[in-house]
Amino acid sequence: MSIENRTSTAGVGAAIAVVIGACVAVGLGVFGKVHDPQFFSINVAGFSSGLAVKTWMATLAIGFALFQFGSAFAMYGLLGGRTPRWMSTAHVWSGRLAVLASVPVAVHCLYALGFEATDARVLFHSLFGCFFYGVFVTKMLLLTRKGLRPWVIPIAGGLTFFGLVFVWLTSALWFFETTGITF
Amino acid sequence: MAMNKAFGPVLTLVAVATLGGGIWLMNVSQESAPAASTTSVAQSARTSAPVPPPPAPPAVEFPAMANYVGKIPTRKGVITLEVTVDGQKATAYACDGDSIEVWLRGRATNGKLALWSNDRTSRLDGRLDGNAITGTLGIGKQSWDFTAAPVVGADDVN
Repeated sequence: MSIENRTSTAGVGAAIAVVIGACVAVGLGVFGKVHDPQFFSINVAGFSSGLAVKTWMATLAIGFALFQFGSAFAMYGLLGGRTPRWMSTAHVWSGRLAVLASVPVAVHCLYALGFEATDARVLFHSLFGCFFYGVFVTKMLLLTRKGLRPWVIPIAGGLTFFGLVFVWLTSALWFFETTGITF
Repeated sequence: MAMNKAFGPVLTLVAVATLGGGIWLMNVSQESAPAASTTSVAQSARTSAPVPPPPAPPAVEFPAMANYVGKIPTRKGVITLEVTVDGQKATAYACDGDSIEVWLRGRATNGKLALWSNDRTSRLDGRLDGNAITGTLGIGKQSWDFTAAPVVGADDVN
């Protein structure tokens, strides 16, 4: 296979990953809109309220995500010095833990509440929430592709990170501001 | 290594889907049958038994525009509850003239009300019962059952 052919195959693969991610994002949004909110969802015990659980799980996810951001910079040699060999493993596992910590929160959002647009914060939170899982799926699928242009993974990773950050800003930060730092 | 490269991210995707789906299924299994008509519909669709599903109850819908008022006696006094339904949207105002005052907004679909306060600490669930609305109003950790009767001449007011 010539180099040109390989690049175009990789390009098609990347495009498919983006399309699948977009379908996931739109699918989640439509589902959240159509599904009747149940105002209840199973969650982690030991907190004062369901919102507090969600807030702290989301904050945990953000903590891991910040490590993702830093470790990605290290992996691309942007922090200077030698990158320790464990860095990529740590990057993978912090990412896994981050997204797994976000899942109960997202299920609660989708199952108990759904896609809402009662005010700008809620609308943007709903949009970013759907976007985050879409771009997450895209990023995971892109990681399985070979021969991608070097900027593809950093862009996808960056979008995933900022998706999660905006989800957090429109929910957990708002909770801390209105309710205070409560557990 | 090539195997590994494809395997890791796919494993992550599967883990996320499994965890999300698992929590979702636990939620669905916890739904009480009469409260959730959507579940029973989904179940009857899944079983694919030769028995035709029971005819759906006639759809109750809110009037395009309606106001309801109810009084909820509490230990400290009386909460006055007003609910306004406008198309698919509904707004409610609950006030006891003392320590409770809250606005709630949300949806009014299929004869059901689901409203929240902006800070999500209060909520109102209701359903159309004849002409009136019955349901539960939750403010903070307290909750009360209520019945709110339609206000006659509501159209004139608005």
